[in-house]
Amino acid sequence: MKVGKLTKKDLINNYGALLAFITVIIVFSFISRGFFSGMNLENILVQSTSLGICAFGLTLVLMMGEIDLSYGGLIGLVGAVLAGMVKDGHSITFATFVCLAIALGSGLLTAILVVGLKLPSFLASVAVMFICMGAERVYNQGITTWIRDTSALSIVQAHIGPVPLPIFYLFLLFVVCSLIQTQTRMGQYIRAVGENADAVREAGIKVGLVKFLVFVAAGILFGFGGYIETLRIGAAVMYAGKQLLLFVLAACFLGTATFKAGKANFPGTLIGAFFLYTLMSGFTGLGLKFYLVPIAQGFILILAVAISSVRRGKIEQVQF
Amino acid sequence: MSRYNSNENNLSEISPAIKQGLAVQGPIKKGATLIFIIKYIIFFVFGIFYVIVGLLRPGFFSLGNWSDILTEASIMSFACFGEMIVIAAGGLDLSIGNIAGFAAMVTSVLLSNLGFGLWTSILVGVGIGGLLGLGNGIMVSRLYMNSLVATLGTMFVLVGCLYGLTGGASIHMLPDSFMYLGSGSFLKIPVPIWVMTVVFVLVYLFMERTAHGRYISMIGGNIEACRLSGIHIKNLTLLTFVLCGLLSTFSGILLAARQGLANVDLGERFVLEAFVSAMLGTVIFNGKNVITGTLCGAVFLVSVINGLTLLGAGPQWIYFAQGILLLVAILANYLLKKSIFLIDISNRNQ
Repeated sequence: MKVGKLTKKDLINNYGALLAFITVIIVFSFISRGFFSGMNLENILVQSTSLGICAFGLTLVLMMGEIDLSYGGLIGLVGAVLAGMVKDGHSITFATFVCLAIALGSGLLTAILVVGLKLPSFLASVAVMFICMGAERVYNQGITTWIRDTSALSIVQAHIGPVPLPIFYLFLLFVVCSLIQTQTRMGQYIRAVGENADAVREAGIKVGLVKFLVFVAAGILFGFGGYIETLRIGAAVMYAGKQLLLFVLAACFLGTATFKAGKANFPGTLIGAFFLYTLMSGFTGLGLKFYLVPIAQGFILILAVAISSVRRGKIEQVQF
Repeated sequence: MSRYNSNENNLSEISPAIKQGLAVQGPIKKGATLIFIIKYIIFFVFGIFYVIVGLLRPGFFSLGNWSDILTEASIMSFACFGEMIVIAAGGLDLSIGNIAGFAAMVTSVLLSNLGFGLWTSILVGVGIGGLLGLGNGIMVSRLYMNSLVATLGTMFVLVGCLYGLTGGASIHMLPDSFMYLGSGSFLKIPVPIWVMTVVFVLVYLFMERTAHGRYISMIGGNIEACRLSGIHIKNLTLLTFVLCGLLSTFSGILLAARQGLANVDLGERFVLEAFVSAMLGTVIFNGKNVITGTLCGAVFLVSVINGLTLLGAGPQWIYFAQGILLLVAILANYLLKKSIFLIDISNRNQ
């Protein structure tokens, strides 16, 4: 790898989305009323926690060159079970363990389908997503369940000092994930499997085991994301995962365009998650029509990824 | 030279064994029934399902019910064909649902609010779908974006555009001539089935009987081989996305005509349904004849939902059914590859 002066082109290629993000923040600070206030920035961070945590799980899987869309159903299922159990008078500790077990089960199912049966991860995880969505609908009968138990809500809605707990969880997980990825051998294997699985296998590393563990870990992260989302809102909305499905994908792909052009990475995913909610908040502050938000998000996603992929020079195919 | 000769000798020594192997490969004797069952496992699964539903609810096999199932499946099938063509070339289009919804909305707005003629409105709707597909195609084939991201971006933009067009309101006042396309019949057969038949024949001929169609399937199979044999990959990939955009508008417009209204989330369901049908389609005939397979997949999907509803299962089981169908499809594909290989080996070793 050549280390030299960073040219303007390199800067745009590698940090395009980051530059866009900073520009957007500066522009909004000047023109959008009340955007650059502590309260508003805190809101943006709190809103993006569940999205960010799920996106960390997906980033892990994307790094390995696979994909896992099971969160589209799992987030909703975990939320429904949590809200339902708290409503039925079970203790929050017990409910939390059941949620953890469900997340673990979903992660294991995906891992068995992909690693054990060697099914394509895209298809297998979509099937798991459908099964989770069905289970959610059967469990809560399509009704929004509210959580009124304050001890349960305080897990997410309380503060540590001045910092709201969700932000604390988000950054804690960010640090843990980044450290695991960069500092441990396992983290290096994950990236290596994504680069060249055959070479890793030849080197005597159990590729199947690495993949299995990553799918299980991703399942747990998705479950935690759903857990936080439910307690933050204070209710289990029907098909909560379906609404986050596209946002999580978008955050990860924005991340690929933020650092290390073209590859999934944790800092990029974090920025991507913030970016999506910053646009939403800034546009609302400007008093613009709500439908302009998805249009702006879509165009920025396309632009950012186009800049980082245009020099690839080859059509990239989706692996099934 | 001598080495060459010795090789030749070796070959002639082995050749009886090879001959035997080749002879076995033709009509497989051992395990032929098993392979037959696994090959057509989807048909067996559905056959059993139909028999159970038919025995419990005799109304399932009535002409009226199947006319409904086929009409629903026809309306859905265009999006499925489009997705299948894109998947055949190794891509994926997430935006078909929103393209279908947007085209239906534009057509309805032109018809009811602006008073345009029937065919002008439909043509504009279909044309917009084609343009959006062209946009997707350019992003994938010229900017080298991953098709998942490119179409995700299009999807976000279209969600905004759909709400922007009507402010989230549905459009009800659709003319009767338009509704006829969705709910009318011609020669006692519903119009969507006629449209589907024509489009199916065209798409089938294109994909199976023209060079371009075969090239598209080849790109999905082995893109490197295609590049080396001088096939124009970029233009063909572009073409798949344009076709997908055009075809999915048919689904949206016909659904609006059948419902008698166009709402903002009209096309949303097509994405997952088209994906499941296309995946069933690749498995049903073992990776061959994917367009016919996709049509069967669409009919199967709609009939399962219909059958479950008749059994009183309620809408909550629909996602379960879709998930399990998808799993059955990919597991069958996996078993087929593995068992043909194993039985082949065991026959050769005899």
